[in-house]
Order: sequence, then structure tokens, then C-alpha cells
Amino acid sequence: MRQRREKKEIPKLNLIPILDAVFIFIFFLLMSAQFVEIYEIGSDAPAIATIDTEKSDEKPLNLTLKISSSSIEVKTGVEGALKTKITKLGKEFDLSKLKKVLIDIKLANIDERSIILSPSKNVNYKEIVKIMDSITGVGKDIPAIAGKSKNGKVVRTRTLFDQIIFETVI
Amino acid sequence: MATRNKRRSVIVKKKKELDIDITSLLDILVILLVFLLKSYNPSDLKLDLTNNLELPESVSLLHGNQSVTIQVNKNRSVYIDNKEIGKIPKTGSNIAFLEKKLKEMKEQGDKELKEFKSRDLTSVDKDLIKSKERSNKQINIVLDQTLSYSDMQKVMHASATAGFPKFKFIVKGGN
Repeated sequence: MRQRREKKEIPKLNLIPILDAVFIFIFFLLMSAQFVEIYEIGSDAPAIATIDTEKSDEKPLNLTLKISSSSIEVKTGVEGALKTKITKLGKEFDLSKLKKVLIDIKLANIDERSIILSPSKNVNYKEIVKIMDSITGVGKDIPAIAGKSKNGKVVRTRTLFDQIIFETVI
Repeated sequence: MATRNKRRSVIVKKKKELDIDITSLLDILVILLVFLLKSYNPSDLKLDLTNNLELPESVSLLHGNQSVTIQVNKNRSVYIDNKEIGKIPKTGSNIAFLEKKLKEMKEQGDKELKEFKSRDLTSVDKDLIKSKERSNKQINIVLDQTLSYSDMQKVMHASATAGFPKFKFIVKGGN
């Protein structure tokens, strides 16, 4: 006797609730979507900049970048002693050299986060943004730097000087 | 007999379900979902750029917050919350019209904050007050990349003297 083959019915998934959820999710994402990625770079006006008020015998770092259209002068100390002068490589500043100098300074002053920018009036905003980028962090290519803080603890960080103050605002 | 057969055929017809193939629709939805998830931005800052304004590229990954937004385009026209209020003068060290407008906005913000504080507060409200206090001090500065520091300085000067000492420079994410 030939046996009857029973047709196997494929069970159907109920996709309706999943589709509902996906639709709601899409509407939510569409509302919050921003097709130009925008970020911010923070800076404080000099009058309200937070200054470490703890009294100590150590001299303040007072790290200052004097930016002109042809060079960047890295100065430190109250007297503003010139540490390095960075010139342009072609049309752009040698920012990798600037970063190296700042990493060295950061290693010696791991607790320090403030930097003063003093650009001359004809410096382009685009160039200032590039400089701000290279002074705030060590970048993707360089590993985190480590140094001893004032408390004697070893601090590992990827941040260089993220408290930017423009000298000539007020 | 014939009528019974007819009735049976009607019943069979009713049982047939309409089967729509939604596989392609699901494919589209999944692609859309991935694309939208990639462009998702958790920041509450919504920026509608004015004409003739190109943002500089930056490696910064800090998301902005909603607060008073100043935009200055290539022609040095100044916009506050997308309304043109004037043009930066070539001479002089400050922008009087911008300072005046910002002072008005600051006063209004302080007034709102005071009213809000006078109400009975829940823990949620307290968080709101904190974020409002923060946004009352900060200002989003959106400048065209071709502008010079002299223009940037004038904008910062007007903002700081009006009571917005925390500047947030809005930049475009670079790859």
C-alpha cells in the first residue's frame, strides 16, 4: 500500500508586532537624525576661568600660544619665556611638532589643563580650530601618556590642554 | 446535492487568506534602520545653518547643548536663533547691536529661571534647573571658516560682556 505523504506546513511567523516596533523606531530616529555631524569645542572667557587657588611654592605654568599668520610661539611661565617657535610647512602649521612639544610639557605638568591662546587679528578661524584640535588631545595615533601628579599618583590620560582661554577677549 | 456542493465551495473560498510577501519591505526597513542608527545624534542641539556659512572641520567629539546660538556667515552677517540682526562692522572692537540683543536674551533667561525656581520643585525639576543654569551661561558660536580672529574676538567680547562667558564653538565632524 502506498502511504499518503502528508504535506508539511511551514509555520508562519507573525511579523506584525516586530514591524510595528521597527516603524516606531524609524520615526524616532528620523526625528533625531542630523545629517551634518556637528560637535563643539569649549572655551571660557578669561574673567571667569577657574584657577587653582591652592597656595604652593611652584611657579604657575601659564602656557601660552602666541599665534601669528606665519608662526606659533610656545611660551611658559609668568615672564612668558619662549619655549619653541613653530613655523609653517608650506601653507599649514607643523601641528605634529606643536603636539610633540605640548606632550613634553604635559608630561612634566600632568595636572595642568589650561592653555592661553593669543592669536593675531588676521589669523583664520579655520586655522585656530585646527590648533585647538591639536592642543586638546594626544590624537588617535599616539597612546595615552602617563606622568606623576602633584599627589604622587601616576595619572594616565589622552587629554592635553582642554581648558582653552582666549587672551584678548575682554 | 447540488446546493450543498455550492455551499461548500463558498466556505472554501472564504478560508483562503490574502498572503502578501513583505520580505522586500522588511529589507528596505532594515537598511533604513541601519542608516538612521548610524546618523543618530544624542545631542539636543538642533542647528539650521544659514546661507553662506561653511563650518570648519574638527576632530572634536563633544556633543553640543541647546542654548543661544550666534551664527556669522561669510558676509559677516550676524544671526541669533536664525534671525538676522546686523552685520559686523569692519572698524571698532565691539558689536553694540549684538551685545544689546544678547543682554535682552540673558535677562529673559534669568527671569524664566527665577520663576521656575520659585515653584515647588521635584528632583526632576532640580535637574532641569541645573541644565537651564548651565545653558544660561553658555553660548553656541557658529562661525564661517573663512572669518578672521578679529571677527571671532568681537563676537566673543559681545557675548562675554552680555553675560555668556562659556563659549561653545560649533564645528563639523571630520573623518
